[in-house]
Amino acid sequence: MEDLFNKISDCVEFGKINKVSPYPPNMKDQDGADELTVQALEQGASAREVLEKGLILGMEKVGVKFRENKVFVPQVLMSAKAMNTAMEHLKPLFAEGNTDKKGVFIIGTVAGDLHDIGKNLVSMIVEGNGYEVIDLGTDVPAKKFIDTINDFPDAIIGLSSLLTTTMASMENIVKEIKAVHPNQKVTIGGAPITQEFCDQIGADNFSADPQGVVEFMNKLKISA
Amino acid sequence: MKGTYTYKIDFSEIELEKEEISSFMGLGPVPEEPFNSMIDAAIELLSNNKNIEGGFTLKPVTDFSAKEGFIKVEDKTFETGRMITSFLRNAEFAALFTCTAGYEVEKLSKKFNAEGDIVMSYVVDSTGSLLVEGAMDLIYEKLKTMVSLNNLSLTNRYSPGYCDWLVKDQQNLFSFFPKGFCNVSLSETSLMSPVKSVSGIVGIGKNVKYLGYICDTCKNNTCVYRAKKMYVKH
Repeated sequence: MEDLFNKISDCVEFGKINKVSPYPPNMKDQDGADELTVQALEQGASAREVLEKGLILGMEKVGVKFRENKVFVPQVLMSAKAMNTAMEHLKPLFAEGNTDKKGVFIIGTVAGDLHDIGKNLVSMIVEGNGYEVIDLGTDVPAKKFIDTINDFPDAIIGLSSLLTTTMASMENIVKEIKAVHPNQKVTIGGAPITQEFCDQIGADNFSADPQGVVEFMNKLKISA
Repeated sequence: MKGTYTYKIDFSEIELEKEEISSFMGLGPVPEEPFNSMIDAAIELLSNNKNIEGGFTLKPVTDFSAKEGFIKVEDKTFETGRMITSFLRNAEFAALFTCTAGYEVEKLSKKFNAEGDIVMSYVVDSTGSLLVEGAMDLIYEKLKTMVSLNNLSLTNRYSPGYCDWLVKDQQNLFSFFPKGFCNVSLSETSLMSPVKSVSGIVGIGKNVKYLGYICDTCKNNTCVYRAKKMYVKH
């Protein structure tokens, strides 16, 4: 079974969706995440095992490779697509109470900013690492974040910004969230964001890449 | 110099190259499959787009302070920040522009996303980004030809949201345009619709300079855009 989990992990890492998918070329005609997940379940693996020993491991590797500029957005998306395909087989089992999510992550691009590629990548990699993601979209005002926190009080908030000029919006949103929910954990990211800016506005974490967000959330989960 | 000009741009005029799209996405000039086919498909789908358009209005610059970081065009003050303002030094006129690739890009991108094809959604989105930049390059060339008849030159084009120029100045910028200009509108938070739209200012004058890729000339050595060598087209 371990060999099957490793193969599933490889399929996610390299974006091999299913047997007919031509990508990546060196895995042509091989079973993909789709078929291997079915095989693992048929051989008695639980949905949780497939998720944790196969899919999440693969997604973690992609997150690290993206951080190291070894892969780019399209390859990460292929990995996410492979993961999503496998998840289609697991979701019905999760719905039966077979497994739990690690936590809830609420993410959005701050008010005044429409850029969503970075946010989407973080969403996919965080979801791929076993968390439930609530994506509020782009141009999101503080009120929407606060309203959603009220519905999911244990969630962690992620704020994204691409424009240097919407960093002020990010600062306001952090302040407004902290005014209502002083203990709310907020992680921030985006091209112009730095650790210095994070410290300055009172956010709890800055990550330069999606994997950093996962590591922050895992650390919080361990210490909780 | 004065007047307001609009242009409909045909997709074929932009001459979008597969290599450019592939490199933009980080895949290098020769994309492997399935990205190669996806880029071909995105180009094919967007080639039917008849709503690529843009334009500009020409207005006199009435005041300027690089130190205080503003430029005044007619009676409106743009807080462009020290850096952009210094790049607009000696501008006698301003061309205030907008350009869009239309709603087709986001419609298609959303459609693929809804179908679960997140990769194709991204390829379409990236192709749309280059499409609107390519269209604006053509309009910039038309402006260049126009001002050269008066022995004038152009600066780079600069946009709200970049460097220190706040997005909220979009409201000032769009106040110069007739209603519905080029079918681009602004949200309350000053974001453009369609999403694949650009806007900004070009300085015009006898002694203005075109600086090309400005990150190398900028004195802000700690800027993240410079440090991360991000793709910034001006």
